[in-house]
Amino acid sequence: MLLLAMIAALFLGAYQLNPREVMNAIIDTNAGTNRFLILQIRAPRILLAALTGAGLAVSGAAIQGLFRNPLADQTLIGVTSGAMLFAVLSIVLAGSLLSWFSVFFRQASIAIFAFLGGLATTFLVYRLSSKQGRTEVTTMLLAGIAISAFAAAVSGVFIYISDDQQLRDITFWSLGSMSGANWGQFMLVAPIILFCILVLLRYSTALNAILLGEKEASYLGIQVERVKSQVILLTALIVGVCIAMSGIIGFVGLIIPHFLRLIQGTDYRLLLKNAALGGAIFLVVADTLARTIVAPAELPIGILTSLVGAPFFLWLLLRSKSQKLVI
Amino acid sequence: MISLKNVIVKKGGQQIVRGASFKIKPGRITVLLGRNGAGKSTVFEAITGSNKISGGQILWDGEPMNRLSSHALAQRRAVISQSVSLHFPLRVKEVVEMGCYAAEQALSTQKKEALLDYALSKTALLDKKEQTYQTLSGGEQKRAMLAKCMVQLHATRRADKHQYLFMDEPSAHLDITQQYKLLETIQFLVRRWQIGVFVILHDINLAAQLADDILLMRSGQIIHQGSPVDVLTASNLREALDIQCMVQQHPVLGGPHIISLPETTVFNPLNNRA
Repeated sequence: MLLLAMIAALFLGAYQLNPREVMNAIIDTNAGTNRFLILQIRAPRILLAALTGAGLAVSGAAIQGLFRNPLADQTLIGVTSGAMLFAVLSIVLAGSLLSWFSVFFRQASIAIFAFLGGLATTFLVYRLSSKQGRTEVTTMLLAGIAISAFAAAVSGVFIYISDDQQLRDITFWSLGSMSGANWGQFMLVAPIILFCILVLLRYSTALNAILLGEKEASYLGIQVERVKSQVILLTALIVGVCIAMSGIIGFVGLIIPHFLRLIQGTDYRLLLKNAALGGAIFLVVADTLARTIVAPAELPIGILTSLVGAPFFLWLLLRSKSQKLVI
Repeated sequence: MISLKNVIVKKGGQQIVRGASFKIKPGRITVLLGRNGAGKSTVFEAITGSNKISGGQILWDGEPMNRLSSHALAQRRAVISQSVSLHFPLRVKEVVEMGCYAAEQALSTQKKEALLDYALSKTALLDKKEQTYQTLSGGEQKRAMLAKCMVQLHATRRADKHQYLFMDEPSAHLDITQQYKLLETIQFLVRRWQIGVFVILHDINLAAQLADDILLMRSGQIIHQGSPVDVLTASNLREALDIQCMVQQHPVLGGPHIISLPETTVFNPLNNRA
């Protein structure tokens, strides 16, 4: 299904192509514009969307398990607000400090700043909630909320002093988009996200055990503290990279795991694998829609995932309530 | 055999356990009795590895406990804790299967299924294995936890190592039939698998019927230990639990049978202090 979605996504877009044109473009080296469109613009973008979706969904599922809370998502560990703050900083300060650099460098600096900001905030939240080598999950949750609120407030200050162009940049960045995707980006990001997903998959049994409680998990021989720090680090890496590349894309980490739980149950050994696939499919489809609905213009993908995601999530909630299932 | 030598546990600067020494033997049931706040759960947590000790020593078959990794520990003991809250819908068989996580090598699917079915039938849950854990009654949830521990002990069983089962208040919230069912299964494990059991109980008569060894704890210290007949005397129980009681011989089982009387004069005609 992921393959199907990815192939379909190759055809669709502001400039529609039929299957023969696509085949031609891939095989024939002299196909010109079509070949460039398919291989240099759409292909890396689709692959990046798939990776981002998989990363966000897998890390979302892992965080929900770790916090033993179905409403948890990556924003809780501070990575999102931290990345947002640093991206805003980069955009606003870039106007004054980095103005002599090229546009490309400014784009790259937003990505690097967002990534570092996400990691730094997560690290801060983690340190605040650790005492003598133990991390209290409830404290972490509260620390995450406090730090996120603070980061949002500081972002607010910078947004307030930014000029119109910067404001527009910030808004578009925060809505998320895959439009900047190219092979260079993909090559840079793919190993990191793939590595993180693979390591997270290894923690599936540990996450299952932690669902029963941290003490129960330790009775089963799970090194809970190690799992906690690793899962948080990997999540911060994945989300940091995703946000750096494509801005804030909401709801993927929340709804994909829930949707899968209703279909296949909670067992993390299946859930994490399916979340990778499900997240990839969801984001490839969402990105294809984002490119086509208002073509030749483009909708920010973050709007689309939330626009589709929120009602869908409500529907899931009401449905499970009527069937007396516990989410 | 697990030996505790002069174990001290501090919490927030206060000594909760003050020099406890006793042994937990394989193939026997050791029951810990004491009032609320006597330090029972703190000792329990120290031996199960979820709490560090501040002094003394705990030896597992002669090996100091701090040298055992959490994985090695999980192969030697299973724990049923007081309560488990689950916020996600997991099926009973998925919960019970977690016992396998402690195994050195992954079991083959066939072996695993056979082991799960065995543990679930021993705990009378075979027909509920596909249900979600949350839909089980309190008694069934406890039995599912016991089934998980059986799977854990069996999957990690080795000829050269003793294994132990720890339970904090396993009979809490269970009706009398459920209590007996649970204890029957535990007795089976002790007799057949030679598991050593360490259990905290509040019901003195249940303790008298079940225990091979009894520990009485008060204010962080083990004040009496030995066989039920030796330990469960009126004066010992008064000292440990602040109750007035009469100890008779159980008409059927032969062991001590305790008739406890409240301290207040309203309920207790024998109490003439008022």
